[in-house]
Amino acid sequence: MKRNGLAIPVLLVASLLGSVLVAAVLDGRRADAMPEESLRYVPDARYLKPILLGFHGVAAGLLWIQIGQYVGTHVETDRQFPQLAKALDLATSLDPHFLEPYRWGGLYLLYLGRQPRAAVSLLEKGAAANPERWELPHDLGRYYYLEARDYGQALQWWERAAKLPGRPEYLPRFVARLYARTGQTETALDLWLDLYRTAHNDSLRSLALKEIERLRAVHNSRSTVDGSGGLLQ
Amino acid sequence: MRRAVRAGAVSMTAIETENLTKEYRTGFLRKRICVLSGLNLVVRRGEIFGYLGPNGAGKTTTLKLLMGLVRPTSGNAKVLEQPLGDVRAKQQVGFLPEQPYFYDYLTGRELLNFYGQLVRLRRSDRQERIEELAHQLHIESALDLPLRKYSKGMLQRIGLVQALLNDPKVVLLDEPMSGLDPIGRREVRDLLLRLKEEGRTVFFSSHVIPDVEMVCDRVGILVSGRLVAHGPLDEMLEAKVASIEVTVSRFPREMLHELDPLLVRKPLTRGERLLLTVKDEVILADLLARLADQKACVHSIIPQREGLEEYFLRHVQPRAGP
Amino acid sequence: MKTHSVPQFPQLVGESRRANVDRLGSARFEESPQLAGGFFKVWTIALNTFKEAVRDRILYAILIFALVMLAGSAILVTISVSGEGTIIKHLGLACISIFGTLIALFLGIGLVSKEIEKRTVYTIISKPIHRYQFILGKYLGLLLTLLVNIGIMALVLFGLAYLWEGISSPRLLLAVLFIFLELMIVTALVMLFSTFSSPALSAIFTLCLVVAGHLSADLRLFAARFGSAATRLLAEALYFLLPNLSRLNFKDQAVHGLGVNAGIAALSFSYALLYVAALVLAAMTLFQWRDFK
Repeated sequence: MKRNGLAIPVLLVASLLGSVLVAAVLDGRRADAMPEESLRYVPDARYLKPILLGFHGVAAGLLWIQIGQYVGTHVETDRQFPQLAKALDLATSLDPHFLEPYRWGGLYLLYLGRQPRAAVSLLEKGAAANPERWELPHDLGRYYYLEARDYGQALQWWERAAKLPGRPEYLPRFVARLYARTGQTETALDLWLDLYRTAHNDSLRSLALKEIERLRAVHNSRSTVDGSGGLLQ
Repeated sequence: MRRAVRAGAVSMTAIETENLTKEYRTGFLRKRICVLSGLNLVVRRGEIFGYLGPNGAGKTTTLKLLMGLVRPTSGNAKVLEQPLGDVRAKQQVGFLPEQPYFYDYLTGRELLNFYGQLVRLRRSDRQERIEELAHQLHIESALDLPLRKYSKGMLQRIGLVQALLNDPKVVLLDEPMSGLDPIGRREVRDLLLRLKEEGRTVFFSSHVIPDVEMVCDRVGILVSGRLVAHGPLDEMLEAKVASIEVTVSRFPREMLHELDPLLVRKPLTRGERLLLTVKDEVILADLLARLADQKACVHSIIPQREGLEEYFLRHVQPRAGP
Repeated sequence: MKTHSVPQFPQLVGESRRANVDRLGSARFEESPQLAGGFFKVWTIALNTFKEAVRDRILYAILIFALVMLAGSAILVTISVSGEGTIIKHLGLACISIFGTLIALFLGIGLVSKEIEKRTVYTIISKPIHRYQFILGKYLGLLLTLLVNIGIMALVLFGLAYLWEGISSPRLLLAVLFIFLELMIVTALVMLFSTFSSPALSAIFTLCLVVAGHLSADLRLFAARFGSAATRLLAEALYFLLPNLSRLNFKDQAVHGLGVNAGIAALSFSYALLYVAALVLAAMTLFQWRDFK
C-alpha cells in the first residue's frame, strides 16, 4: 500500500516531464520540417464554411489572427508570402463583412507581398460585398492613385467613396483636386500621412515614413505650400 | 471437532479499531463535523456483532471506514489483521452497503458474474456458486431480469449474494434488514445465524432493536458518533430483572388487600384473572406460598427483564434533548 | 466436516445441491501471478464499462448521426465541380474527430462521478481491487468504446474514399490513428475532471481545454511578441502544460497525400502517450484520496 501510494505520484511527475521534453524536441523538429506550418495548407472556404456549423465568423477572426502571425514571422525572416492571398481570400469568404482582412490584407499584399493584382481583386471583392462601406473604394482609389498612377480609376473609386456615409472629410477634397488634375504631391502626402497615423504595424509605418519624407522633399523643392510639412515634425 | 476449531478462533480478532475518528468538512466555511469520534471496538472471529444506533449516529461511516471507502481523520483499524483498504483483507471480506444500488443495465446474473470475476472466482464453478447463493436467498428466478426492474427487497437480496460470493471470513452488512418485509427480515436473521454456524464473522448495523436482540452475541451502541456501550448482550441485560409478573385466577377478592405489601404495582383485573407484579424472586416465593394457601390457580410467571429497547432509550435520550 | 453442508433451508428441488456454499473455504479461486490477476480485474472493469456504453442509447444516437453526416458528404460533393475526393476526406476526418469527441465527452463526463453519485462504486471498491485499477479499467473501457466507434466511422470513410478515388491512402489511416490519439487525451481529460466534479462542469472544463489545446501555440506566439516577461513565462508554462492537440493533427497531410516525416510522427505519438499517462495518473491520484460520502 505504501509503495503504491508513492508510485502513482512519482510516475505522474515523470510522465508529465517526459511529455514536456518530447514536446520541446518535437517543436524543434517541426520548426525545421515545416517552417510555415500555420498557413501551409489553406482549405477552401466553399466546403469549410458548412462544417463550421455557423461559427465561420469565429473562424474568420481566428484565421485573421493567424495571418497576422504569419506576416509577422515572415517579415522577420524571408519576406516571402506565398500563402497570404489564399488565406486572406479564405478569411474574407468566411466572413465577407469583416473589413480588416480586406484593408490591411490589401496593404500587406501590396507592400509586403508585392502582389498588386491579388490586392486589387481582394479589395474589389470587399467593395462588391460591402457596397455601403466607404473604406474599400477609398483603399482602391489610393492604390490607383499612388501605385498604378491611374488617375481616372482613382477618381472613379474616390467619387464612389465620397458619397458613402462616414467617409473621411478629405475625400471630397481629393476628388476636387483630381478633377483639377493638380496638387498630386499634396494628395499623396495626405494619403501617406493618414496611413502613417493609422498603421498598426511597424513595417507599414516605416514604409509610410519613407514615402512621406520623399514626398516632402519633392514638395519643398517646389517650395510652394508647407502647411503639411509642419505636421511631420 | 469444529467446536474446538472455533474455540481457538474466538480468541482472535476479526476487526479491531483504535481511536477511529472521522470528521467531514462541509459548507462554505469548511465547518468540521465529527461523525465518529475515538471508536475503540473489537469484533472477535466467529461472532455476530450488532452495531446499533439511531439514524445518523455514524454506523455507515464506520462500515465505510472499515471497507476503505473513506479515510479516517485519525486513529486506526485493522480488518483480519490488515490495514484499512488492504486488498488481501478485502479478498476475505464481504460487504453489503446500505440500500445497495447496482449497475441497472445489467441482469442479476451479469452483475454477479462481474463481481465473481473481480474476486477471481474460478471460472469453472463461478456459475454454480452464483446460482446456489441466489437459490438460498430466493432470488434465483430473477437472475435474468435487468436490475432496473428489481424491487428494493430484491436489490437487498442480490446485495447479500454479492457480499457472500467470495466466501468471506468476515461479513460487513449495513442495515441488512431495511427495506424488507417481515418474512424477509426473518430470512436475513436466519441467514446471519447460518453464516455464524459456517464459521464466519458477522458485523452488521441496525437501528431496529428486535433484529439485533435475537441474533447477536455482542453489541455496540453508537450515539452521535460515540460508542456508549459495548459488550455481550446477556451481560448488558440479564442483571436487570425489573419485575416478575404472575397471572392467577380463583383468588378471593376480599383477600386481595393482604397481598398489597408484596406488590410493586396495584393488581390488574382482567375478567377472571389477576395480574400481580412483584419486585424479585424472594418476594415471589412469599407470594406463591400465600397463593397456595388460598388454592389459587397460577397461570404464568414471567420475569420482566429490561429489554435492549429500554437500554437503548436510556442511552439515547439524554443526548436527544435540545 | 462434510456433514456441515447439510442444507438448512427447505429444499424446493429434490436434486442434489449444485455447489457447496455452506462452509468457510468452499469457494475456489483462480490462481495466477499477482500482475496477471491485477490486469484481469482491470480488464473486467473495462469490459463492463464497454457494456454500459453499448447499452446506452446516446451512443447510437451519436453514431447514427455521424454515419448520416458521412453519407451526406458523399451526396454533397456531387454538386462540387471538382475535388470530390478531397472534400470527402476532409469532411470524413472532421466527422470522425467531432463525433469521436462528442462520444468521449458524453460518456466520459459521468465515468467516475456517476459511479460515486449512484453509489455503485461502494460494492466495487469493497471487492479486492486497488482504486487505481478501477480508474484504469474505466479509462480502458471508454477507449475500447471509442475504438469500435471510430473503427466503424473510419471503415465508412475508407469505403467512400475508395469509391471516389479508387485507392485508399495509408496516410488516411495515419490521420485516423492520430485522431484516436487526440481522443485518448480528451478522454483522459474528461475522466480526470469526472473524478472531482459534476458532469456539467467536467464537460465545460474539457471543452475549454480542447479549444485551448488547439490554440496554445498561437497564445504562446502572441505572448512572445507582445507580453511582458511574466506573461511570457506564464504563456510558456501553459504552452507546455496544456494539451497541445494541434501537434496531433495530420488531417491535411492525409487528405492531400503530403509526406509525413516519420520522426515527427513518432515523436507526436510518444507525446500523446506520455500526456495521456500523466492525465490518467493524475486521475488515479485524485481518486486515491477521495472519500465516498
